[in-house]
Amino acid sequence: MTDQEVFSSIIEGGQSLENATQYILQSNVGLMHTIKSKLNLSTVDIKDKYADSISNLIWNIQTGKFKADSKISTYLYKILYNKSIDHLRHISTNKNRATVDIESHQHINTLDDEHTTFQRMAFDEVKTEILNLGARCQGVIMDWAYYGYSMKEIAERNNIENADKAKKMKYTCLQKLRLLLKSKKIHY
Amino acid sequence: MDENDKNFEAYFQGKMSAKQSLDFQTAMEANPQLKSDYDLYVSIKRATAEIKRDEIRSQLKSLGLDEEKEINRTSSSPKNKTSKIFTLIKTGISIAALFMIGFWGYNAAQSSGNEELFAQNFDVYTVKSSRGENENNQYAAYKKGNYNAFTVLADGEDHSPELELMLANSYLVMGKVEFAISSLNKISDDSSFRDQKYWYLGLANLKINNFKETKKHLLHLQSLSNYKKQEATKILSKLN
Repeated sequence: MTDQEVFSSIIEGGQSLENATQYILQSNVGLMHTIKSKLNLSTVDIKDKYADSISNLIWNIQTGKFKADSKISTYLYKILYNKSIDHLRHISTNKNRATVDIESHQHINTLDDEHTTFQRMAFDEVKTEILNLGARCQGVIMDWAYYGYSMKEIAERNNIENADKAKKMKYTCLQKLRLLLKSKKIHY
Repeated sequence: MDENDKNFEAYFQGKMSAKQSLDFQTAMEANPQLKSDYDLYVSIKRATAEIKRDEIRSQLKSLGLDEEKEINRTSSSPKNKTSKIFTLIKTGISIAALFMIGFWGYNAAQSSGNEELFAQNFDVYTVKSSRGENENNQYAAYKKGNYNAFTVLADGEDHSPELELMLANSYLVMGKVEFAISSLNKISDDSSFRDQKYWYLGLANLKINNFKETKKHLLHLQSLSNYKKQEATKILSKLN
């Protein structure tokens, strides 16, 4: 896949988004090795940061913050490097570790820092409650909000009779979600 | 996608023109419900992105990072060449020995591990329908768990997709995996048993340690539907 193909697949959504995600994940594994040995991170930490970085890359493409003005791998490297540095800063009580290459730590807006603490707490609640809605609603909401599948596709993917019933199901799931959030004093 | 969804997505992705964007903002100011719906939409977008991120994290957990290779690569220096060559020969012999032991051990462990993985995930398909007198006998045998009798009763007939699925399940219980795969492949992709077809094809191949086919069928299932999505993800991450 070329960068342009990855880019348009992410914007297109659906199965193309999933294919592009798997492609990015598999074709940039080398970045993990490089940053892991450069910053002396644990395997568990670098894997988590790599997952976070891929998620951020996709988010930034979807929200128009990254417009393919550099190579995707270069951009992903920057996000992963920044996240790794932030992580080291966070966990380090050892001054030696803080001497990592801070000068090249150019800031890129990511999922984590574009919202206030209060908004992040609300997002966490939304995430928790989506997971609490059960597999069926979770499948419908993921297909609608994350992948952007059409109602017809959502019906097929979730074994729902037709697009109208899928739409009704989506509405019911959203209503349930609102109620669950309301019980936690989060109003939408 | 309804009109609101379309507007939300266009605004969220920055695809609206300056005028459209301004109009949408004005509409949200005038209509608190619209603003509230949009805020919920963004929160759900963000939350689902995090759910997907967690899925990627789980997928990566099973990915082996070649740490040994990394350590060797970063610590290499031109000093002590003789000692290095000697070490390399020793390492080579050790690796060959370890490889032979490891290969045998890996196969044994992988095989028993996948038997367990199969057992954890294999549930015999539960019959939903029953039509006709002949089929009733067959269905009764299947429902009672008389799988051998069921395969005899069903022999030589034109099978409905559900009957093929039941045959495949019976063969899987009886350990006749190749027969099971053959039955599953007869189920058309237009049938309402399409998702079960790929799920059981994945499991059947898992049972005979054909991991390439297992992955192929489970990934295909995931691309088609959310049926057994979590179970398929778990199997795939273990196989990776």
